[in-house]
Formats: sequence, structure tokens, C-alpha cells
Amino acid sequence: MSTPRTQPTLGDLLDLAQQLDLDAAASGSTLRHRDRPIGQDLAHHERRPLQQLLGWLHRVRELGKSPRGDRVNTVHRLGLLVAALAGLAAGWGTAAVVFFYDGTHPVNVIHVLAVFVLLPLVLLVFFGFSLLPRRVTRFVPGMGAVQDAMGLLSPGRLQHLMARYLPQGYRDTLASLLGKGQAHQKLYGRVDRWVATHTSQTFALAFNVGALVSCLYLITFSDLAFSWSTTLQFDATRLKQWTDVLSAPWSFFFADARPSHELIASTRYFRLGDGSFPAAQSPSGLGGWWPFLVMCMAVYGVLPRLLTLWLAQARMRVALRQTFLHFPGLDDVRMRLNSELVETRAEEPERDGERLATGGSLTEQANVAGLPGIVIAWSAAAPDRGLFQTWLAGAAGIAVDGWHEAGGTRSLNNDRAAMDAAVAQDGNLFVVVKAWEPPMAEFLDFLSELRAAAGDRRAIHVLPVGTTRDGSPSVAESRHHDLWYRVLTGLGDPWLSLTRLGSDDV
Amino acid sequence: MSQPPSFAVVGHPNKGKSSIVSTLAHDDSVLIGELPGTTTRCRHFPMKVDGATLYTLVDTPGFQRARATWEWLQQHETTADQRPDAVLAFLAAHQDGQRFPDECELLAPIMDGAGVLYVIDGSVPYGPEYDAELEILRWTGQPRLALINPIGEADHIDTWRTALGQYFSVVRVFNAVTADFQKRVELLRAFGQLKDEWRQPLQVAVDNLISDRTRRREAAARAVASAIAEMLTMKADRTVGPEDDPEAIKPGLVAEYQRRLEEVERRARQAVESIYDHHDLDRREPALEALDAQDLFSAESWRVFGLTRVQLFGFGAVGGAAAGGAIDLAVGGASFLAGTLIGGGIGAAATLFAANKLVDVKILSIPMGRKQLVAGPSRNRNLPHVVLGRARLHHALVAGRSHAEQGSLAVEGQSLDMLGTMPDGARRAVEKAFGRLRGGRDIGEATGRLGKEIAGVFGADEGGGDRREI
Repeated sequence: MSTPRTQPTLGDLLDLAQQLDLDAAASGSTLRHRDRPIGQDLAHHERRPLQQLLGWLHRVRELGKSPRGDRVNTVHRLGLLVAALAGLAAGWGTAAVVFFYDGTHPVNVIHVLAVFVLLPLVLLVFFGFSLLPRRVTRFVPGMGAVQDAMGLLSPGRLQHLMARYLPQGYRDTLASLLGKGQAHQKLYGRVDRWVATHTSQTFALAFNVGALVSCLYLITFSDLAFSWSTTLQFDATRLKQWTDVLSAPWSFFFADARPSHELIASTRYFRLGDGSFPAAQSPSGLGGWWPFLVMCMAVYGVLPRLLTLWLAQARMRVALRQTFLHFPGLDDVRMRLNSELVETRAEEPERDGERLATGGSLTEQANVAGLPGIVIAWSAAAPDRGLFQTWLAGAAGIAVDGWHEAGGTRSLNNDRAAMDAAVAQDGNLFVVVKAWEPPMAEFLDFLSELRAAAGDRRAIHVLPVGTTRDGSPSVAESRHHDLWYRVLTGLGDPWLSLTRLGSDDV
Repeated sequence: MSQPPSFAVVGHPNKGKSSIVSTLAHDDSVLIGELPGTTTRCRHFPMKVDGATLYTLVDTPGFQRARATWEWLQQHETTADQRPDAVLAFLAAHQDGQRFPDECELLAPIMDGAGVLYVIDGSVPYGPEYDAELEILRWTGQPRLALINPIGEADHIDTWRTALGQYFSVVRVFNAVTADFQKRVELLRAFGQLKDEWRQPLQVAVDNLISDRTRRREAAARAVASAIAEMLTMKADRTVGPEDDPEAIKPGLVAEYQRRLEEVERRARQAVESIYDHHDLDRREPALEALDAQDLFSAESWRVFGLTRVQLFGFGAVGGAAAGGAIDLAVGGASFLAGTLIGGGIGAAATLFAANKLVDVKILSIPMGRKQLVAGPSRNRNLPHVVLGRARLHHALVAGRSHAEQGSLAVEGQSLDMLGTMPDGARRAVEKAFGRLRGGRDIGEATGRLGKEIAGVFGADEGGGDRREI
């Protein structure tokens, strides 16, 4: 098992985006169960969110499919390598041109200073402009356009351009990251900017190193002759002042790299006339400039770019960290990592369905009007017998010939006695029940025994009744009636009927 | 280490046992059927924190043959101290039989040490058929609490209190469907009163549930903030050839832009529902269609949830004045605050003008004579306020919905009224967060800040607030 990084990379950012996209399709419960154990393992990083989240990403990547982030890192490193090689080649080539000497005309020191001191300093100023934040440059008209133009010219664009020439797999990976960048431009913008800056500074440093190495090579393996030549009104004393300023940084420890007045005065060169060097100058004296020029290239070319590369790298790391930490969705990840996993749901799935059969047959709404009947009141369904009989006669025209009580607080033996007494009488059997209480197994047992006692073909009418607030009987609510119908239908008794008293069609 | 407490939810069939369990366990998978005997086996709902069980709820089948059971127990009665043994003997005698499967199933966890939560329907009258159940539960000797769950409209609660008070030390009214989170927590605390040794684990459980609730609210707020961030930075573009008329294509692009906004909003709603463990909400029912009918771009939504013209004017003026003030500052006050005044006026006018349009469509020239139409990001200052207002309503309904509640998510006139007016301070704070998103300095950070503001608004909604005037 590899160990997680402590600093996010471009690849981590891509993997993070991919992982959060995948997580968006997963249930919260799944994610909590996945992340909380990881959070407990990484509890020592709770106060260091970056380390904790990188650790989380590392663990989640190991659980899932192979990440594409590593390939992005490879592409990024390849881009840096190409930029460095291109810079080295450009620097070497430029130095070869500037230091060109075929024995006819000496190398003009003014050229060298212009290309390897003045130009880098000007470019540094532009670089400084490019770093100014938009909230500053927006107050300066045209500054934004200048920054955009500098961005277009920046070697940092190499990272985007080279993607076109990569193998398909790498192209897909990079396109994915850049595509994400377009969709969330503002989110990735800061990273994109510093990745480009880092690449451009890699190129710039390599350029200056290449030039310096080329210079040292030419100095070592050929006999360069230096002089200085300019049309400007510039005498040796003036140039001495400038060279003193330029060599100030190293003059206290490398005095030989500070040109003397004699050297400057003796190496002025004019192409007019015979075009030769001052007669007094020895060939070895014409090479006396090189320590100064090498130090200029090192101090004003290489050193500043070393610093800007370090700055770009540091800012890129900061941008990666900030973007990583502020990535939408990471707050939820941190919550899952650091919060207790609270579960309240059932562990086992729901197993039961509605177990009562709904087949069978049942006579519904039997015509009971005018029938004489034997009433069995189940579980005190008609507590006031007189009131109920009056209501029954009014609602259904039923004349009560016998009255029995069962269920409720009565014993099972009492039920059987009431049942026997009821079946012994002639007439229809009416079982009055509370509509609002569901039919339970106890009642179904009673019905079954009543059927057995009464024999087949004798009608048994179940009459669910409702109740008013003052306890008077009333028509059953339809939802209660429906429930009774569904349960009694399951008994499959063709001589059993269910009648809703008081309904319009009775 | 002592066993965590468990509570068997028992009672007559169809009196809301499963609803109680569903609500307390936040589990919408509980089958709540109309037929008696829907539940035939015990189902356990352990409340766990990082895998450690703090208590367990047990959903049980209802009593089916209580009188027969009670007669069996009476026939085997010895002395009062041996009544629990009689219940154990009943279980031993009938555990594998066909006669009392429901009674055995519901009594087994109780005799295993579970507390009794006896559930009745307070909207129907008390009847003698309950006596046997009450006696059986008394014989178990376990701590008991009665819950009056008023399923219907009628009120027989006082009668029930009198009857249940003779058998239970604690009798509480608890409507499983309408109980809010606070009532659920209070009920759990009441469970802890049944036995001294249960008090501490129940308190820990309650503390964790409250923390978990806060986290869910924050997660919901972040989901809404992300949706708003996506909406405020969203663009839709289309490239057309030299022969195409860009003006004719504009309406289609705006419609596409709207469709994508609505899709983002729908995803956010699903996320919020999932955060609160509502996985099967029927959002096609008329009640939810009522919410959708108040389409994001209908006048009703903007009127109910958006800023008033006065508020829009104020926000625009403040923003413009700030920009103008920067110019005043740059010239060292030589402009005599002209920048602030002019900036404020321009800002207010621009905001009011932009409020009438959802999105602008820019037409850009690109090589080969083609044109690119770009819609968005929307500069409509009202848009995020409307989206947030709708999200508030949806969140309030989802967060307050119990898991026993079946049917669609009802959004009605009174539901709109349940939201208090957002306090001015909160309104300004979210407007500031919207500004950060529009500025696009750091979308991730700005979204995080907006999420925190929205969490505060959601928290205030749950804690009550002023009634909104509509």
C-alpha cells in the first residue's frame, strides 16, 4: 500500500473531481459507511484538513478503479521537461549567436549585456505585471488586455499545446482536466494560471542556464575576444561606472569579475579604419571580460529566474492546496470523516406483505331490511342495547328477536355459550362489530366457530357500526367498511355477508 | 458491560405501531399497511453511533388473540412475583405452535428485557377488548410507557389517559405523523425515565441525534449553496454558421438555459430529500406539482420568493455606490462624493433593469464567419433569492416531514405561510455571498460561505420565525 502525498498535485485534483462526481450518484448511507472508518483511521489529521483529505482520497482511490490523476501528473512533468529542454536549446543557441567569434570581429560586450542583462530585466518587469491580481489591474485601463497578451505569448501555454501531440490516452486525460477547467473556469483558473507560470519560469531558467553553459563552453574550448563598441556617446569612464554598478553584487568577493578601467579603455573597438584592436592590447587581455560577463549572466539571468521559478512553484502549490481544500463537496466529505456515524434504520429489509388472502367471496350489502334477527354484539359494539335496537330498526328495519353478548371482557366460554344460544333460535344471525376496530384473529376464530355451530347455508350478517361523539351508533366510515370487507372476503364463506347499515342503498 | 436498552413497540393492530417506529427510526422503508397483521415478525431498529448500539426499537406484530392468551395466563397464575414466569411459560408452550404466533413474537423481546411502548389510537374510543392486552403487559413486569397516537380527528384522549394511567407509569400523546424533531427527541428522553440505567444511554443517543440533525441541516444547506453557485456561474452557448440568423436562435438558447437551471434545482431537491433519508418521496403527486407549478420563471415564484423592488433598488444602489466610492477615494475626495452618488444611481438602475430579464445573450464573432451565442451567467440579482426562497420552503417541508407520513409532499398556501420572513441581516449576508459568487474570485470558498449562511437560515426556519406576509 503506497503512502498518501502531503501536497496535492494536478492529478489529485483530477482524481478528486472524478471521485466526487462518482459519489454524487451514491447514496448518503453508502458514503457514510465508506468514509467514517477512514475518518477514524485518519483521526490524527482531523485538525489538518489537507492531510486528512489527501489520505481519504488515497484510500478511496485504492478501493476504486485506477485513477487517471497519475497520468495527468506524468503529462505535467513531461510538459516541464519539454519546456526545460526547449529553454536549454534556445539559451544555448542564443548564446552561440551572441558570442559568435570567427577571428574577424570580436564579441561586442554591449550585445551581451543587452541580451543577457537588459532583456531579462525588462522581461522580469513584464512578469511582475502579469502577476498583478485582476482586482488591481481592472482599475488600470488596458492592463487586463496586456496581461491576456502576455498570457498568450507565455511559454506556459506549452502545457496546453503539447497535449495535441500526445498519445490518445494522455490526450483524453488532459482533455478531461481542461474540460473540467472550462466548466468550472473560475475554480480552476488560479491553478491553471500558476501551472502556466511555473512552466514559463522553467523555460526561462533553462534558457538562462543554457546560455550560461554555452558561454562557459565557448570560453573554455575556444579563444573568444571581447571588446565593446557603440555609436552612443559613451567613453570608457562612463562604461566603467556602469560596469561597477552591475558588478556591485559580487565585487566584494570576486574582484576579478569587475572590469578595470584599463581593460575597458583598451578594448574599445571601432569598425572604421583598419577595424583592428588597439595595438597595445595583448590577445589575452581581449579575453579579460569573461569573468564579468559570466557573473552578469549568472546574477541577472539565472538567479532571478531561480527566484521566480521558486515563487511560481510555491504559488502553484498554494493554488493547488487552496483549490483542493475549497473544492465543492469536500465539506461533505469532511463531515462524513469526522462526524459520528449515526444510524437508526432497520438492519434487515422489510419482509412482510399483507398476509391475508383477498380471494374468496363475500356477499356485500345483503338486503336485510325487514328481517327478524338474532343479534350478537361483539366486544360491547352496542353498549346501550335499547338505543341500538331503535337505531337498527330505523336504519335497516331489523326487528331484534334475540340478543347476545360476546368478546370484550367476556370469557371464551361465555362466547361459546352466547353462540350456542344464538344458533338455537330461528332467524338470521347478525354479528354487530365496532367498525373502527380491525377484525382480528380472535374475531375470525369466533366467526369460524359460529359457522360450525350454525351449519352451512344459514346466513350470518356482519354489521360494522360507527359511533358518534356521544357514543350513539352511526353509519360506519367507508374506509373501515372496506377494511372489514377485505378481511372477511379472505374467509371464503358464501353465506357470510357484510352490510353497512345506514348507507343510502339499504 | 450492560446490554443497551431496547423497546418493544406493541399494541392492538392498526393503531400506528409501525408509524411510531418509522418516525423514531427515520426509516421510510417500514411497511405501514391498513390490513391488521401487516407486521408478522419483529423488526429491529438499532440506534448506533459509530457501530455501537445505544438502544434498539423493536416493531412487533399486534395482539391477535389477547383474550385467549390472558385466559391461559390466568389458568397458570401462581403469585404476583411469578407472573413474569407465567408469561415465560406461555412463550415456552406456544413458541413453535400455530395458535399464538403474534403473541409469541411480540412477547419474546419484552421477556428478553425490552421496555414496553404500548401504542393506541387516541381518536377512537376505549373499549373492553383492550383490557386483556393491558393485563398481559402488566404481567410481563417490564417498564412500560403508553403512547396515545391520535390517528383520526376525534378526540378520546382523556378517556384513554384514565384507562392507561392504571397500567402505565408514563402516558404521552405522540402523533407519529405530525411529530417534529423536537417532539421525537422529547419522547426518547421519556424512554430514559422508565429505568434508571437507561437514562444515560438515551441521553447520549439524544445528544447524537441532535448533532446529526445539525449536520444534516448543514449538508442540506451546502447542497442548496452548490446549486445556487452552479446557477450563478452557468453559461449556455451555441455556435451558428454565417447563414444562420442569431436572433432567431436566441429564444431557444434562453429556453435551454432555463431548462438547465431547473435541472440543477431538481437535483438539489433530490439531494436534500436524500440527506433527510426520504428516499421514496412521490414528487408527482398534485401537492408537489403545486410547488413545480410555481415555476421558477412564473410571476408567482418571483413575487413570493424574490426581492421587492425596494430591496432590489437598495442592493443595487449600495453596490454601485461602493464602486463609485472607490473612485472618490482614488482622487482623494476631489470629486466631492460624485462617484458615490453617480455609482449608486447607476447601480440601482442597472439592477432594476436586469431584474426584468433572466439572462442576456451575447453574440460573438468567431473565425470563418461564424457566430457564437453565449447565454449567461445570469446577472439577474433576484434569481438566487428566488432559488433560495424555494429551497427554504422545500427544506422546511422535508426536514419537518416524519417518515411515517405517506403520500406526496404537500405544498399548499399554508405551507408558504410557514416560512418566516428572512431577517434583514440574513438577507444581506446571503446577498454578500451571492456577490462573491458573481465576482468569481474563489467559487469553492464563496460556495462554502454561502452554505454557512444558508445553514443559519435553515436553522432559524426550524427554530421558528416571523410569519411571512404573502
